[in-house]
Amino acid sequence: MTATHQGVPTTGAPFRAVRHLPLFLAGLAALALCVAASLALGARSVSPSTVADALFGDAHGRDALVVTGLRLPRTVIGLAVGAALGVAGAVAQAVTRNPLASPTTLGINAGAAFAVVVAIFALKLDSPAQYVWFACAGAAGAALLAQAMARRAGDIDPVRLALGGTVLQLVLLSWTSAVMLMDQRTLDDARFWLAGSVSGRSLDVLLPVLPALVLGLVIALALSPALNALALGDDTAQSLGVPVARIRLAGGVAVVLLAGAAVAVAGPVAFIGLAAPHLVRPLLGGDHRLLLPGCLIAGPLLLLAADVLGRLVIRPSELEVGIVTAFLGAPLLALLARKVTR
Amino acid sequence: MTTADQLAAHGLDLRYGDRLVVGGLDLTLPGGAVTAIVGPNACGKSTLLRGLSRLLAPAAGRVTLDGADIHRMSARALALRMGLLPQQPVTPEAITVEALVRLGRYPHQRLLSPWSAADQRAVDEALERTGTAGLRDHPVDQLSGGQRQRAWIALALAQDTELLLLDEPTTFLDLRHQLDVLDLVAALHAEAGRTVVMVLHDLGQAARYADHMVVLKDGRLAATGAPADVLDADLVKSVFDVDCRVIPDPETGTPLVIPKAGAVRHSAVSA
Amino acid sequence: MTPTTSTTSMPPATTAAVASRRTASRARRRHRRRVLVLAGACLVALFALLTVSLTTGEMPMSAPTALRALLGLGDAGDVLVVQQFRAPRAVAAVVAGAGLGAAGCVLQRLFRNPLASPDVMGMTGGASLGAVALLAAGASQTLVPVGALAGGLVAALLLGAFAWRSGLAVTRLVLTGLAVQAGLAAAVNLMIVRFPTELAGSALQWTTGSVYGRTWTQVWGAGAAMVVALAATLALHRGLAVLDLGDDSAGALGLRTSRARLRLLFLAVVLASLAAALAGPVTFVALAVPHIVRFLTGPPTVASPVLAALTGAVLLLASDLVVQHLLPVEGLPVGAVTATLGAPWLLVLMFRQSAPARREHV
Repeated sequence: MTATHQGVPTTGAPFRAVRHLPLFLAGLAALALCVAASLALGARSVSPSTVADALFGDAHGRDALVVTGLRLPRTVIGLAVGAALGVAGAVAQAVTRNPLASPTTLGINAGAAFAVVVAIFALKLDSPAQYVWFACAGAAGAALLAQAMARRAGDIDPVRLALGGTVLQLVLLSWTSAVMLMDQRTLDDARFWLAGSVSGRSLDVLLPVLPALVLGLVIALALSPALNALALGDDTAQSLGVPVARIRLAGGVAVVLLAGAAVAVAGPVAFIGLAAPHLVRPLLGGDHRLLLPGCLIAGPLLLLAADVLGRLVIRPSELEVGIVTAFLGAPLLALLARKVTR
Repeated sequence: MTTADQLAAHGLDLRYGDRLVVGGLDLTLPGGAVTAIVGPNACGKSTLLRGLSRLLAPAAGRVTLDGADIHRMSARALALRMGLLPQQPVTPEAITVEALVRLGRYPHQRLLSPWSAADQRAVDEALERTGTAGLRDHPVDQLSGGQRQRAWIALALAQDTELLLLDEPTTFLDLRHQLDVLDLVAALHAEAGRTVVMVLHDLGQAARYADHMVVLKDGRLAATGAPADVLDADLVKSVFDVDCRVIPDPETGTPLVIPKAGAVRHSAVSA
Repeated sequence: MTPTTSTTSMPPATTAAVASRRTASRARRRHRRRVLVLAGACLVALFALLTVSLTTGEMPMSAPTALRALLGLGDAGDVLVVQQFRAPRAVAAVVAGAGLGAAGCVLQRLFRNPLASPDVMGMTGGASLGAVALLAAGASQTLVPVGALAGGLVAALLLGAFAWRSGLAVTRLVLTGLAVQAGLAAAVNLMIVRFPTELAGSALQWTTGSVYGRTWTQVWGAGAAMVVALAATLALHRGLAVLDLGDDSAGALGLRTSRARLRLLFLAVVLASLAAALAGPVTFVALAVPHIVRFLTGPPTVASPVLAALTGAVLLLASDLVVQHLLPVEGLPVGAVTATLGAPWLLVLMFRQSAPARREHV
């Protein structure tokens, strides 16, 4: 009678990760393929053997330099950003109990974007590496504000969090547009960063935010059983002994750490955080103990595939990954949505 | 037995996606009577009710009302003849009892026709019958479980149909309120001659209040007929896997199921 | 469906019931009073703002002069300024604000989700794409609104085509809406990134939302369609109330849930697309205004879409006046200040709200 419909996790059910092992393995294999493609393909394609030589052997030529100097950092950054966004999205949807939520909902991307655009306008910056700290500060500021707005009697109200965060996001976005429309140079510099991209960044960009990213991942994965309880509603969760207020706060912190780190490195890539959980849910179900690891694979998979595709479609130029992700992910999401029966 | 309001299933298959919930069901529910559908959890009782009320399209077979296929009738025409109270209805936020009950007049109204005196009369009558008239301005979500259930029944009554389908109308209610609801159903049947089909959990209550009983197991018909003819120890054993005695109810003489003492705890079929 | 009348019959059983009933009907009266106060306040504000928008500018004039000019009397220069520039712009803001407010109101109720708005259903993306594509093709400014309208409708068609599968389930609709929006927004983004700076600027201007340079033809066309759509929204309100009961109860009451949902969705699309044609996709109004109305007057009734339309009109017109007269920077689009102007109201109301928000809405 109770058709177990999508998104309702079964807390009491035994943890049957084994059943999904083939899917996880397939996901990992696809991810490995994407990593290989990301190292080999681009404006100047490199043969797989040269890639292997460049990584593990002692090849030196221009091709090897392209692989180790440009594509390796880019791939690593893509993996990290995709993973962070995918997991952050799943946690954000669980914490707000709203399928429309994503890290964007908490104002994180908009905060980072506004800070960066103001920095470009006022300080005349012009390279993504210089933006990192402004993006971090903006993301943290906006996220703190959104969480503060949602606090009520020690707990975070999910409706308030989603609504307040979205309003904050819209305000910041409109300010961002205003600044860009006031100054043509800012518009010119900022629009590329705003599309979201992992190109032209060295690993030095990733290092400072790596601790935040790892900490966020650990918190998120540790929370996953509690997130299942949260989905049953506050009262039920409370009666199951789950400290709802603290879980929600911790979840919020995890989202901020993950999405803040991601936006600092790659700019506002909006779609992955929203889509990855929805893409994984029809395959693995609503159990967060499976969903979060699933997003950990699906996020980077989506991002790297989009990045590789973006390099290939208009060679020798390339498309920003934030744009291609949406082009690639949107039809996928529409197709999977058809599988949702009720 | 009258033939009016006779609901029947012919070779009915009901599915959720690929899962067959009710299979090959042939069933006739007598008009002008109270029918109780009983069976273990997940045997397809609620699914059957959804199938009988056009909410779920059959994968095979058909459902007829007085011989006419209900899936060929317009939704509104059927809603004028058949009302349904789902198991866990969704209460709109902060709606008052009267506003809720007024929604029961939906099939009687046309796109631009105003609220008529007949509509108001039906609503007042439904409120009165269910004893919720004094609560009409109260928000439904602040009522107790019993009051809320009565408000929902009032909605179904305001719909003013000859046929009423109720999905476990007594769940979550205490004994007193369970009996109130069942007495109300009995009165509806006795005074207004309505046909009632309800899913019930309690076999004793089903035997007491129903003229006709439908026993389901695993989506198939296990038995059907008058409670006194149908309900015996063998049936309870085979359908619910519970050893019991069936004795006449000292109050009404209808069958009463008494589980045997110390019987091995039979694990209920999980939902 | 406002409960109209008749507390005539039935003496309630107990005195407690009488007392509680009295407080309950007092609550109902209070609700009705709040609706009237809000509607009145909006109308007064609209009138005041319209006066301001007709009288102020580079050629200030008194209110009577402006009114005469509006009717084609008085100095020819005044007539030109008022009739050709100020009036269409103000009316465009009013019409667009009303459409967005009502569309958001319908969508949030339809999807039972406080974040639902044309932005997440793909209509904003479609309207932006339509407008930006025409800008890119070098079409004249007067054609751009047509592009926005067409884009919004195409997005809705996409949404319907993908989400309809022997019915229109809410979850599937929401997910499909997200997908359509993401795809279309990405296309807009692509154009903004790839365009030459100048064109990127005007595209950004358009997608932020602007009522600059609207002509009477556009305003009348969209306005008339908007009135029809608003009337239809009111006519279909009964179905919306029945949908609130959940699919099973609504189906048992004879409502074809999928078809009713499609009809309401189509209306919301028309409202939002018309608004986008006039003012561009101003994101904030449709999301926030229904919540403002809700915080002020309580749970949704038949009055809600009307109030949301009025409030949206006030907000957008006020924003446009701020952009025109109060900001030191020239030529900013109205969407740049709408959120700033509206957000404080929403946040204050959100904080004042004492009762816990709805808990489980799954």
